[in-house]
Amino acid sequence: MLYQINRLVEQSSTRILSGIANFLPGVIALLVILLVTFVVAVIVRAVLGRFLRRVNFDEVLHRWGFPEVAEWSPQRSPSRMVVRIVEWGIIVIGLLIGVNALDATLTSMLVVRLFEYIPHVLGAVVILAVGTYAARFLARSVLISAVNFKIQSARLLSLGVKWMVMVVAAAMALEQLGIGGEIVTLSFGILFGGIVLALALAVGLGSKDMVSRSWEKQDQGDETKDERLQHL
Amino acid sequence: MPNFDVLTQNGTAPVQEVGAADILIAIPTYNNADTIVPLVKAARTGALQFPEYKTVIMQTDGGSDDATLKKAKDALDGWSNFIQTSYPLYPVHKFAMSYHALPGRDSAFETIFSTAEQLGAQACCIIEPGIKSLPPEWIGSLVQPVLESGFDFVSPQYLRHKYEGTLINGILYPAVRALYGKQIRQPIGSDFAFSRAFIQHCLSENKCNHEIRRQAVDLCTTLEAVHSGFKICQALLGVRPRVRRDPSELNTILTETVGPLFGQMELTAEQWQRVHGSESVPTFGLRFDAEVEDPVVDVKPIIEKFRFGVVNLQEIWALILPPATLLELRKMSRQPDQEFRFPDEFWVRAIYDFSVAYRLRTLGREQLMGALAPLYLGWAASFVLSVRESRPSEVSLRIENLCRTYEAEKPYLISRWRWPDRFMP
Repeated sequence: MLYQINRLVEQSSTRILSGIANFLPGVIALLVILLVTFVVAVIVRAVLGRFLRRVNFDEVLHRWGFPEVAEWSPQRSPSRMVVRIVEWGIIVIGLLIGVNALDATLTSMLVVRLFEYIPHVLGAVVILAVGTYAARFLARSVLISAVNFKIQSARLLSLGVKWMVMVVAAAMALEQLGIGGEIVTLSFGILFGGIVLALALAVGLGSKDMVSRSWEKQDQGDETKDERLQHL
Repeated sequence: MPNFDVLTQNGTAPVQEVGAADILIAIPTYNNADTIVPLVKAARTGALQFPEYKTVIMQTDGGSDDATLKKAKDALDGWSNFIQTSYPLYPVHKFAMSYHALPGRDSAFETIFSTAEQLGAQACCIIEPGIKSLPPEWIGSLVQPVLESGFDFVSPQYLRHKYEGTLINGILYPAVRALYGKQIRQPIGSDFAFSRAFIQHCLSENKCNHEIRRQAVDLCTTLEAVHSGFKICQALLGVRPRVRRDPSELNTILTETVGPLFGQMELTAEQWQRVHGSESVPTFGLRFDAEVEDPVVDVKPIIEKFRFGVVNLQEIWALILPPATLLELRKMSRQPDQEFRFPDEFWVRAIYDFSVAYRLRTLGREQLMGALAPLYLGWAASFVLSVRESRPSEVSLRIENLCRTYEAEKPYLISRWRWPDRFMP
């Protein structure tokens, strides 16, 4: 009896100790990986921060035509935002690698799933970035052209184009992330159709007078052309 | 050298048969059936002014689908030294929006230069169509300085009414003068003459890039002559009676004239930063005694366009212009129509600011020229109002003062060019 109790205690102790012995290297590996990750993150933060300050990243971004990035950024500094994104990116990647080192099946699956999702996140980020750039470029082109054609609602038109492109980009990004599914596509279709209809009505009604004036000028022949400046 | 096809239809002589020439009078054409006959006839009369030289008249065509080629050939029937060639038109020429009636001018110039070189011509002049009649004396005025005075590049100077060529008076002439130090009144134009040495230089080492050449081959050629130290002069030609056609969009004109100038500034920054002041260039040709009648220009819609720009483009101008200029523009927009003035100092600084923005690619380049359009109209309205009661000599003085402001403000340009962020908040 005593022998059996002794054997059971021995077996359970061995199991626990061997379990700890099996788990401990993983924990140590996790701690080492986290430590290395933090060190790398701190170094990258310092180097990247200094580099971005040296190239005047905030001003360059403003000059490239993205002044509102500063508004979303911590302390109105896009370079700080970039540094933080990179820093936290490194920490998250380090954490995932560390968790994977524990060799737990559940965490491994989680890590695999997360890594599988990263390309979708990157794709969405790229779509949003391209969409933002395209929206800004098109909005400016429309504004400048509309001003030169003296269209009274130039700013409204430009704003409409900007948000239309942004909405398209946001819908595409959400689709890329797999969020919303059919609802996003459907609501995007409704929203886009609505914007186009609203713009068509606005331009149609707004430019009615302009078109009739243009026809009147055509009827009057070339008289008005004489009043034009001869630029060259 | 480009390849070009020699058209031998209707019996005109191919280049090889003509052999050699002393003078080449070249006329690039594209659907100019309405004006080609008086042009080639005047060219022939002009050629007769030089009996001691062998003169060849050349028509190079961009693929006209009207009777341009046939009419030219018929008009010069019996003239043995007449050649008809075609110049290549590439898709970029066909599809690009241009204010020129002649597509592929750069390609036409290249074909003419190649032909002149092949013929060994001592002097070559180019007369562009789009002109109702050509006084035969023009040929002499253009060619003589090359043949008799050893000049390499002859640029035209036309007699114009005071509201004509506001873009040349307001930007191109004063900017080229301040930047490169030569007082060339018409840095872009339609009629030029060149020496053999200059043509050989252009064929072998033209520093303009393709895009700038395509948009403004005339400006490129003028600046090439200046940079490379060729002997330059001007020929007074009188009135150029242009054929009326639908006016082009201002944006297109700015993109094809001011854009290439800014592009050249980028390529030649080392040179123009070393130039101080400017010098006049010798002028030959006909004296202008006649005065041209000035048309009525209604400035009200022009000022309105400027004001509309001030209201709507602040956000975009703020990327290009320093705050002091923006403030001044807002003040200007509140002036009553008849007292509307755009001070030269602010105008010149604005042009220099735009050139810096062009270099820094602050905006897309066509967008930049679009953003310049309302400002230019504001200055043009102010210019029209300021010279409304002026005699021609007073108008010249007004332009001279503007040119001096361009020269005086050049240190501002150099500072902004070197330290673009210093003036911006």
